[in-house]
Amino acid sequence: MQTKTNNIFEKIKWPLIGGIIATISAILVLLGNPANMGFCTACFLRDTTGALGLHNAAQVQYARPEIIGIILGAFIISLAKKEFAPKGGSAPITRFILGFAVMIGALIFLGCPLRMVLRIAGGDLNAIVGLFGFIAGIIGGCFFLKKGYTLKRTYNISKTDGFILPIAAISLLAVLLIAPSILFLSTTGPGSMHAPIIIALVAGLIIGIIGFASRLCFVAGIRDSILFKNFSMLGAFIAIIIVGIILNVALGKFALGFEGQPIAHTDGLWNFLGMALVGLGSTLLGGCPFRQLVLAGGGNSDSIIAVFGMITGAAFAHNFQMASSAAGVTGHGQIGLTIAFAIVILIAIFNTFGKKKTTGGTP
Amino acid sequence: MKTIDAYGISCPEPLIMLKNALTHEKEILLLLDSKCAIENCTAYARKKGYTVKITTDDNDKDKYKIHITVTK
Repeated sequence: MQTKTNNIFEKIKWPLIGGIIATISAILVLLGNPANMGFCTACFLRDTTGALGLHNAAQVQYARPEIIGIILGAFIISLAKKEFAPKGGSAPITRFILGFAVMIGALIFLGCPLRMVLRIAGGDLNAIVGLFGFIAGIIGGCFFLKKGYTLKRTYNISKTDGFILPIAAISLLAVLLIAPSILFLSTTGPGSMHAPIIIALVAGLIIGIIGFASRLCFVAGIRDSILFKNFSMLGAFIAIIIVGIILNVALGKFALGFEGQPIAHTDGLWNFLGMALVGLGSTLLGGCPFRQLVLAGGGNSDSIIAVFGMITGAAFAHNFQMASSAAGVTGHGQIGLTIAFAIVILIAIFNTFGKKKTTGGTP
Repeated sequence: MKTIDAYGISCPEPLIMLKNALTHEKEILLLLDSKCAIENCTAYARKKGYTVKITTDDNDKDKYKIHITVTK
């Protein structure tokens, strides 16, 4: 009986998770988040970067409680499941650069893979173009993985190392609640649009817990379908799209088309290339931006470094006008994406063919 | 018997190593220490019909030894 229940749970697990994420996203949009942006790891990290004054794009500055919640949710569940095991040391600087590049790609497309799926559910056809790019990037990453790409071993490190990010998240939450005036907070634009703090925080906690416990990853779902013919996680993506469409239609927020989509542009080539870079870079990192953030909360310092890379990438993207807007892609963005793509491909080549396949000594 | 030392190696690399080895090995000792890799690799081997036996290192309970053999 026990196994039968387990089997049924295994079957409905991913669609259920997708449904929960779509529902929480719809609630957040209803309560104030920007359209088709109930959740977006890249956008929210970028907004938080702005709130800390690391970039000065006045329209996208807000300390997103969702980010704080995801970190803390993953942290709490990792402790509860006795899986809180700080690890690190697997090519940290390479991971920083990959995180940086992934953020450039995401801000040219305008969304992480999670928001891409939510955009599709909102009827934004530009996100379908992005999806094709994303899949192409993952196929490219799988090519290198099959050829032996590795960032080598990770090692157990001091437990204290894993507490730093959750403490930083709690500190940021305290500042947002007690002294928000010291943060840079948008008064217009997407950064000014947000659900109430406590609701956004709880939403983040729930998704952080689900994300850590299930290992949901928007790259892994597609990557494992390609590498191992394991399609189960795709159930979550499909459920987000189906439940998202139903909720968007019910709430009158569904609009099918390319033009006039919320916080999106219609430049197909750069939508494709932006998400292709996200797909490739994330595959080389071992997980999408959301997954990196969840692992970071669970104490994985390799992922924390990747998140720092994303934060730095977000700052550069806005300080040097590389990020896209509803008006379209910028010239700087096109140059930045091209350079980032070249660097990521070189990282892939050097870590696949550049050394002997035997990995370092025993940990 | 082939030993695959995947301690400290992150998903999906251990499963790729296992998948490649299973094409020409009948018996594999897979060394893992990440929960993700343990779940993925054991599920994959069981799905492919192999017998899977899991033990832990005597000195370090976080280090797992996954013994994978062809089911008779």
